[in-house]
Amino acid sequence: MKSVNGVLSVKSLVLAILAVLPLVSFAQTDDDVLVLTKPTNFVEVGLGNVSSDSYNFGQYNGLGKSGLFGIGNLSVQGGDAYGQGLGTRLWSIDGTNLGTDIRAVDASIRDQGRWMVGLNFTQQRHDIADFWTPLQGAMGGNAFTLPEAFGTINTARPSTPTPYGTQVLTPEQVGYFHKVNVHTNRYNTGITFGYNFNRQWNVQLEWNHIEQSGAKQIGSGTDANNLSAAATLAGYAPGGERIQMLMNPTDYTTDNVNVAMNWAGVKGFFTVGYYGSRFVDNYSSVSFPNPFDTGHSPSGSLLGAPYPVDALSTPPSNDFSQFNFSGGYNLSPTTHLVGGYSYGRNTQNMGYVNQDQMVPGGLPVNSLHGKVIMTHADMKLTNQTTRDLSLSAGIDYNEHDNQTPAYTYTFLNLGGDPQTSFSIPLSYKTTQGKLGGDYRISSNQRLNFGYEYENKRRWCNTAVPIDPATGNPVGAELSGTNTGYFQAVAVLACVAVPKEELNKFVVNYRGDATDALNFNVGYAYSDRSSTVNPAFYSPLQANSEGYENYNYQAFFDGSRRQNMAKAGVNYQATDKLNLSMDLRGTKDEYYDSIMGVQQGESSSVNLDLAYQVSEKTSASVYANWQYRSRDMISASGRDSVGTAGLTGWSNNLIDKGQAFGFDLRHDGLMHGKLDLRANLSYSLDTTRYNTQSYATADIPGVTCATTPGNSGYNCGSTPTIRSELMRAGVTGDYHIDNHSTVGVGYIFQKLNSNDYYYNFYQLGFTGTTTMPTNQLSPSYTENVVFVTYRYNFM
Amino acid sequence: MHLTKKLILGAALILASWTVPALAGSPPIQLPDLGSTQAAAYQSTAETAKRALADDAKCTRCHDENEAKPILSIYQTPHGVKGDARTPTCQSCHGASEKHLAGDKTGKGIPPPDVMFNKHDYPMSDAGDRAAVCLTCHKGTQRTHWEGSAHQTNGLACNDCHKVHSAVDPVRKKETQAAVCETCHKDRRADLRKISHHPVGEGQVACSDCHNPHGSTGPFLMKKATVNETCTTCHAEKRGPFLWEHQPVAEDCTNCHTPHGSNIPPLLKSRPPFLCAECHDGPHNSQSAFGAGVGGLQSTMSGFAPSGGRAPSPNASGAGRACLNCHVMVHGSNSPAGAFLHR
Repeated sequence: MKSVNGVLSVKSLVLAILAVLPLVSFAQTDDDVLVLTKPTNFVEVGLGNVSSDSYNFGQYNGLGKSGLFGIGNLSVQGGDAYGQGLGTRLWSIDGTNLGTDIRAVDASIRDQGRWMVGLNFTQQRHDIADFWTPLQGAMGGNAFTLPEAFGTINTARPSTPTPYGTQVLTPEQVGYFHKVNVHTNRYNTGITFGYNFNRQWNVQLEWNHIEQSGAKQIGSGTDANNLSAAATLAGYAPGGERIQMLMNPTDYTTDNVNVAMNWAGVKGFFTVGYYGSRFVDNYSSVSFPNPFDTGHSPSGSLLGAPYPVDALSTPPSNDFSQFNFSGGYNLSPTTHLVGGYSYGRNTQNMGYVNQDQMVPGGLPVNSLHGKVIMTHADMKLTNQTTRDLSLSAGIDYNEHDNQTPAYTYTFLNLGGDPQTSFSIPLSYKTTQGKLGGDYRISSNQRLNFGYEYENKRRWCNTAVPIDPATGNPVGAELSGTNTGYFQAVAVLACVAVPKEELNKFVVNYRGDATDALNFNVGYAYSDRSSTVNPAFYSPLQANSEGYENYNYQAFFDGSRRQNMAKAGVNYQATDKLNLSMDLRGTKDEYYDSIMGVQQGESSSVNLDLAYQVSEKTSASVYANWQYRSRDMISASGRDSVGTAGLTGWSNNLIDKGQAFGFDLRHDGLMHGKLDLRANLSYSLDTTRYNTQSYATADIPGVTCATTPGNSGYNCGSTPTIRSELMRAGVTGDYHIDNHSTVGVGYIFQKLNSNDYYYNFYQLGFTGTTTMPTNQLSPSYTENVVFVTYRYNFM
Repeated sequence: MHLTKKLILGAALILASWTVPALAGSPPIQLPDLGSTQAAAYQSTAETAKRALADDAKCTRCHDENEAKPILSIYQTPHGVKGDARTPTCQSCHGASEKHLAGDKTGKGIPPPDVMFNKHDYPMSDAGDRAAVCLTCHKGTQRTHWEGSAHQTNGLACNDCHKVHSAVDPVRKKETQAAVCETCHKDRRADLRKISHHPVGEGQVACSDCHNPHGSTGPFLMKKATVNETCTTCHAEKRGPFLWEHQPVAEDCTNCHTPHGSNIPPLLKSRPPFLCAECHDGPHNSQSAFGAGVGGLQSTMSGFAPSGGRAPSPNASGAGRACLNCHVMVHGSNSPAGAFLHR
């Protein structure tokens, strides 16, 4: 409801402005000086038409639906400071995209040098998906149901090759499917205020209030029937993994406030500030029915009629407060010191979602009492040692100290099995030291160099409790087959890599071969050395299915050697023609990872050409090529002691992109009355994965399934994910006179999208325990035409 | 801690050696004196404006409305509000330029102004000299970390991005800012046009919403000290803290996401299950090799067919959303039953 009011208020504001405009008398002048020194205001209105529905075309531009749309833009400015005036007052009102769902309005008034007040409003619509679902309940709400007659879905696998489960729903069930356009809306209202007390002191305030509505798509693993003792005792009969897509509500409110007091003097400056952010989720859970539970009749169940009700948690409301201090001082005319310190406190204490059936043992606490202290400090010293040499030295410190209390939670997992896990709030800190220099070798050559050291530590403030009965970490299954992983309880760590050290060297050279030809080359080398603790415990790893195989290393904290090289050249061939080319390549090697990501490479080339034919005519062309690859080896098997029982496989990712485009501008046609713009862009992006058996002396390779089976081939290449986008547009502005301009335009946009992701969700082709969504690759062909009238005035 | 002490000691030694007066400095620039008394600041607005316009007239009597590049449009900008005592005159930024004002005394043409911000009839001044002019007034706040920043050390000055004389500075408008940044950051130009992207091209998000191009203490010129602090400015629902955390999420969003654009929605570096398998190979199906089969039944390469007398059923752990079909709370869960990020 608030959202609707927000829209109405904007429309009202725009209408009010349009109503007043004809009453205002604006001086009309041909004075060339005034044209330059006073702003040209305008009001633009128009109509456009979109040829067909496409959520992907309209993803962010508000044009997802076919048919007419309105065009409204305006910019009105005034004040006694314009036109070389003697005053200091300025005001402005700007509106953009007022006819669509991505409208924005800004207004401000200022007495420059003394105070300013600004108001702004933006609406953002994000079209995410069109998907089909039998669930009933409004998109944006948090309670979904199924029609009582929908019935339960039998996912038992028959002994004949007849499709079953969700692959063959009854005509009645299919009849309940309906299309939902999943989208979010953000309404962002902001106020800014500034006041100068004097030349040295000023205060600035920014506040913005964001209301978000709608939903995003989310999966849900739910439960089938399971009559385990624990589940029955809990009055719950889950089991297995049954999948439905849900509309996860984004009924959020966020308030951000930023206040800063600034001082600036001749030799120094400082800022004292406060940043506060409050996020409120108006829901704490999403409830949905479970049509897969064959243990309950459609007429009722222990957990609610006619279907068991399941629930997901939603993002918890939270607060963040931060005090910031920063400043600088000129120790000498050429030596400057800057530094800063901030202290932030992130808290969260939203009540846990009420899901008694999933936590039959009760809860240790009813909410998290979460608290993270974020500390930052930095200091940097710079010196212009000589006119040709400047040096800098700096240190940064960031700490994320998670002081959230930890408890042991018992619950039923999706399979209906009782589990025990201990929450482990993660803390980490990084300390960085940086040295840099810039040396002017000659008037047309410069050398830039730097060194960086980073030390990262991870820890947990709460020790993992030990189960007195087993002497092992609570919840951990340290059976004979996987004791090899948890090697020593005494040094049990909550992170796999408690320490990282990184050394990085950078050197760049820039030179001018001639006045018209300049170039640059650069190289960077870094080495991240990680200390791995094999006694790693995490909530995900507390159970028999939750560990990583020995010697497996996550890519983001593994030891890594990284090389980067780049080069660029710019050639001003003539006064009118400019050419440039840039190259860049990287290579990452995870040299200590026996398993996991082994290496990655990337490279790119950019070519640009700009031609200024005349003052009225110009053209530019660009081309881009990108390549990225990643190689990984992994192993199947659940015996984590050494390599026993494992079978190896490798996976290679190749991601490519090609893009080119041109822009053409030609003004002054038809005796100076017609300006033309044309542009064309094309891009083709592809991604594919290839999996192969991988064997070492210790690990046999996985057996690639080459015959049809339940899961199909487990080796070979995935179908290529392919996105081919072409966009062409031409616009013309015809200036009837100094005040009136008529614009016409045409946009053609076509996306060919071929993504195997959607295959899985088609009715008749899903896994037998997955509710179809019938989503398709978002290919579209769109034709958009529009006509506008712009009134310019001063 | 030991390292910290060493670094502080090293910085102190460097500081001691650098406080020696410089061997050479930038040419003096005559800008309004920020350190003068408050009384001077609030003299009559009209008087201030008249005096400033008279100063400007030394230049605008020649550099008038007939200039090919509009000079006088600066009067539509904050630098043209002459009633504000802080506002610079032409000579505040371009230097006193006495030789230029004196004209062609030697018959070799008119000497250049002291500071040239662009290359036209005269050579452009050094980037350091150009930036120093702006930083005389625009010190502190967002410019605190300019010196030693990536853009400064790559030879950029303020006017390489800002159009000071233009009524509308493109880099300060959301709709046009990206085009300015893409002049150099050309890979980002391609990324921002991929099927999954932040709405930068649509004018709803600007590069400067995440980055501070004037320098920062964060990585990649992030506005905040860390990547996650920057991301959660808008995505506050991901901020937590959560009861059950996911380590790569808690540390750095860019472990999984590539924020400028991707062929894999939503802004992912890779697609599950392969993305997940880059960190997990133990938990149940994340250990499985997945290949052509994740293409689903409709894929001509998957080869699905009835097997063993039973109908095919693509593996939900590898196809579609793969791991995220069930592990839906990858950003963290606040459910007591969410230790495996299911709830």
